[in-house]
Amino acid sequence: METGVLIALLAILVPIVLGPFTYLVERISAKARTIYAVSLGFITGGLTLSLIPYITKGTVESFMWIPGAGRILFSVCLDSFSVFVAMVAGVIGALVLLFSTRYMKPASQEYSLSRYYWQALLFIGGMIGLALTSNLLVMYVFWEIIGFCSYALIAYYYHEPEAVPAGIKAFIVTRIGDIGLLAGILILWHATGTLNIFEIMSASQAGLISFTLLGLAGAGFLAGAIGKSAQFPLHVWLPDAMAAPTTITALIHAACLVNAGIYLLARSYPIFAGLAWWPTALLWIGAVTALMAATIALTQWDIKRVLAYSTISQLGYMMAAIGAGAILASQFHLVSHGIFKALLFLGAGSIMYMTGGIKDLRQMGGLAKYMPITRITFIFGLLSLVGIPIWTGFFSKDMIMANLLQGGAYGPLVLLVIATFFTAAYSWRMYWLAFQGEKRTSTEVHESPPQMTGPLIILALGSFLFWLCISPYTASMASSLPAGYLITHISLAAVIHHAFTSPIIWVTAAIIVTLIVLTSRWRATVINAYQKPSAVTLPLMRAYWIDIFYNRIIVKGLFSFCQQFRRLQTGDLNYNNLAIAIGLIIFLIMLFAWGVY
Amino acid sequence: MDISPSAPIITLFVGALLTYLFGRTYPKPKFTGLASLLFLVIALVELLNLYPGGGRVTYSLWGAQTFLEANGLAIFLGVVAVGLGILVLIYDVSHMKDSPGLSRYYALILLMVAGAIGIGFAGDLFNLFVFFEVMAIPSYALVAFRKEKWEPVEAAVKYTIMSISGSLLALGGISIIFMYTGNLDLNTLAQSAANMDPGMAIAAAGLIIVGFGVKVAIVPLHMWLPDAYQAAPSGISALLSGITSGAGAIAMLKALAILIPTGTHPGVVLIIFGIISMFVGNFMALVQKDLKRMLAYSSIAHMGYVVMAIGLALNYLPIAGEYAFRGAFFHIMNHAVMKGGAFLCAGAIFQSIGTSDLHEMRGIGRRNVLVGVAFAFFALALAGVPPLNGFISKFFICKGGVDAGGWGIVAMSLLILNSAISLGYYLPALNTILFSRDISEKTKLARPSPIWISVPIAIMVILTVSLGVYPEFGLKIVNPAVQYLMGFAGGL
Repeated sequence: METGVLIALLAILVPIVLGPFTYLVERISAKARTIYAVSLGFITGGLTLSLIPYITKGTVESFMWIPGAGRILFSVCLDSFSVFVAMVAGVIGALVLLFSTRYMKPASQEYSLSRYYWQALLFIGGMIGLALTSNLLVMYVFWEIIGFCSYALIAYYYHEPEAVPAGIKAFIVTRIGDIGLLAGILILWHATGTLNIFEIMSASQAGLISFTLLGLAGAGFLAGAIGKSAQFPLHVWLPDAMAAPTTITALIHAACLVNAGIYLLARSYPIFAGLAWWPTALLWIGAVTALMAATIALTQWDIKRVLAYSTISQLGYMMAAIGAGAILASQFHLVSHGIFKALLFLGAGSIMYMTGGIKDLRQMGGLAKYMPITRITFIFGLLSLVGIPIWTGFFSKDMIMANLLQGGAYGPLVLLVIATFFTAAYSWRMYWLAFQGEKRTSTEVHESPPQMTGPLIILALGSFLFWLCISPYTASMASSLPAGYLITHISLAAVIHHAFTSPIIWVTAAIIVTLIVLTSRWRATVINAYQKPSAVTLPLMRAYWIDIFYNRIIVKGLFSFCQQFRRLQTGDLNYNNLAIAIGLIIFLIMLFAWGVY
Repeated sequence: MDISPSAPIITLFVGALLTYLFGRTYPKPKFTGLASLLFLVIALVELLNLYPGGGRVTYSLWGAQTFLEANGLAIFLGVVAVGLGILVLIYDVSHMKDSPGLSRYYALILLMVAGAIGIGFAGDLFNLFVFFEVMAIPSYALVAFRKEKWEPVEAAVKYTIMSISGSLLALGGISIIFMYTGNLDLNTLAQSAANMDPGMAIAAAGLIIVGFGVKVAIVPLHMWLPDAYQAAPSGISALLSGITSGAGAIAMLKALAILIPTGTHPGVVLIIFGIISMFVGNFMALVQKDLKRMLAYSSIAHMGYVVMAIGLALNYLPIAGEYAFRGAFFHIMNHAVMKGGAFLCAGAIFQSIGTSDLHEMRGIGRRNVLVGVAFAFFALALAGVPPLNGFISKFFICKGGVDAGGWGIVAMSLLILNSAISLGYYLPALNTILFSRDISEKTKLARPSPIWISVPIAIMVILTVSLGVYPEFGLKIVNPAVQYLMGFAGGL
């Protein structure tokens, strides 16, 4: 077995197999358990980082998994897509686990921390497994495993009334998307005889898959991605998922699980690029979601919900990028977003920890002088989110919008540009409400301990400096991926040149002007405008009533239908036996109708 | 060692008789249970010795001949039946030790398992029917076992009447076949059946589907199932869902397969009513407040998956047959493990708090951690979450659907949709048991489970996980059954 494959297998198995032993180590002492869990996280992170030298093209090695049914293989893939996604999972996972050592302390009296660490490690291993395989069935297995971890961790604080329903909602909504993904995988397997994504890619590019089947599979994959990456119309689970511990939100709902859908779409782009409607659908769904979520984020009072809608919005950018064929831009923004969104969520966690659990922006305020490190790192994250040069977010967002402009996708581009303004507005509002103005809480506040500020600083530096790696990043991508992904190497100088000469730079300039104006003149108006909902703001505050529609019409409707349906179970033996007779008659009629031929 | 195919069945018949006599002579419940367990183990060894098949035994009765044949399908059904029987018996030794009449109980279980094995081994329609009844009749008595209460008796009466109606209809169908072909031997019946009058073939197919379908609980023939599963002792519910439903499906399959050359399409009926069963089972389970009743409706849904798979295989035999059969049989095996385990957990909970009402068992998983965690595994496996075994068998069934093309793709999507819907009742049940916000009064008084209840449950959890992570364990037994059936049905 090659070293690269060995490292990859260890990176998957170490957290998954050794994770449950956290319960055993807890018998020794709580401190030993925490050290054990965090060490596993760092070992896994280190293993994923050490995969970089082993990046190669295509499937590296395969192991026989199910010989008795079509010789299904467990294939390991180490190209740069896979390794970078695995790295995001491993490294951010390690930082989040370190942050958790202090953050989760208050919860340890009521809840089992072993359960927390075990499930977080299972999640990290599952995400790495999803990334490092080129076999679609294996990918689906890990896809569902991380879905299960998401449910389990959202429901972590099970004594809170909203936690378990939120977890169930997340699992079921993403599973509805997964219906499409599983159907798509099966259709592709049937059409090409293989589950290996590279072989399917070649078959599709050679025109060997009928358009009907390819279309069905494409719709299925799209549905799966919409579910996992919380795009419209399956975005409703992500805001409620904020019931999870904030560290988990940073890991799962910012950096990893939600990326799985975008990763899936980017990976399978060469398969479905031949379908005329598929890229267009991605463009529009992504752009509409980006704008919709950005408008809702402007009216939310819970800091985590603002960030949740912000995540949905940024994922919309990535999906639109894939739709425009800009795979590199989408993946670059994926990594960049992972870093700054995790940073912002951990920053929110830092605030919540120090204020004793305050999440509502109206109760925060004036924290700037008490939590300087949190404040500065939060600003770094926001500047990257809004897309101010020279933070990484600027380069990645710019690349996406420039690609849309080049590709002539003007409609979605306009939506994305408007969304950018909303992004600036809600980011500015969130910062001002939390850190500036008067201190509205009476709790004694000071800066968070180093286990928490450390990861914040590391992530802030990453959000500031990651774009410097773009040359080796694109070189590695260009060399290790098949041509269908349309990725070429870009040098650092070319990136800077493109970023500052593209027409999109005017958008950025306008954003900077807007922020200056907001800061100096319109402070009170923007912050207080939503105290009383008006005709414009009410739909935003209610998230366009989509969630309410799902809950009242679909869920409650289904349950009341089922209650009525119970009447058929009469309990009267005469009716039951009559049903047998009726069944016989129906069967005979059907058999007759299908005839004998 | 060369063993006759009739060995496992004879072992269990003798075992039933000896267990009963032993139980009456030395009324120590534990020893009676262990004696019956011994016979089951011997039967299992004999079955594994017969693997992978081959060998036919002929019995002559006044000029008529009847056959028992050991083939892949027979061994598969035998191993599943005896394996589940062993696990449930270990559980029952502890669970039922205070009940009166245990000598009857164990003897009847052995007879029921013998009937299931016989269905697999039957080489002709006569034996098929006889062993079908041998399996069914003890199950009537076992459902009514706790006859001090009214519910088990009522449930058993309903079950008996409906099942007898079904059996008579099935007998009618078999009689029609015999009348028009003069032959009952399964191996040669297919050629004879090709000359059957098409109308009579339709009548026979319809009667057989209804007749055996009552046992498999295809909607609309399912109405006995919720009451019977809820009222029976939990070990019996586990055996019913694992053995009788599965064996009923295989009996139906064997009888229908020979009708294919006549040109009828029983597969279509099975596909459509399999889908209807899925929906009915899942919809009804969504609104249940009692754990055992919820699991009962879930069994209807799972048998819907199996029946749909059999229908796909019968109708699209050359293209979809392999994966559809593989999925159906693997699902019968997995369902025995998952649903059996879930019922055993429900029984353990019932034993410690005295009820199976979901609201009353809030937080029981925190008092009885093994049962709680085991139930989590079984619930997730039943919902088809990888890497557990339920997902793999559903995956194969779906592959069969896709291979069938056209409407098969629709059928497959509906199956996956139903899997997603089923989460809607498994997750709340899991939550109530493990993660409820408070602990109910009854749970506070809960007694911990005895060790011999926990052991079979733990074994089933291990099986659930290992069959999911490395399905090859199960496929070793399933694949010969698939090959046999493809050969049998495909050569027509």
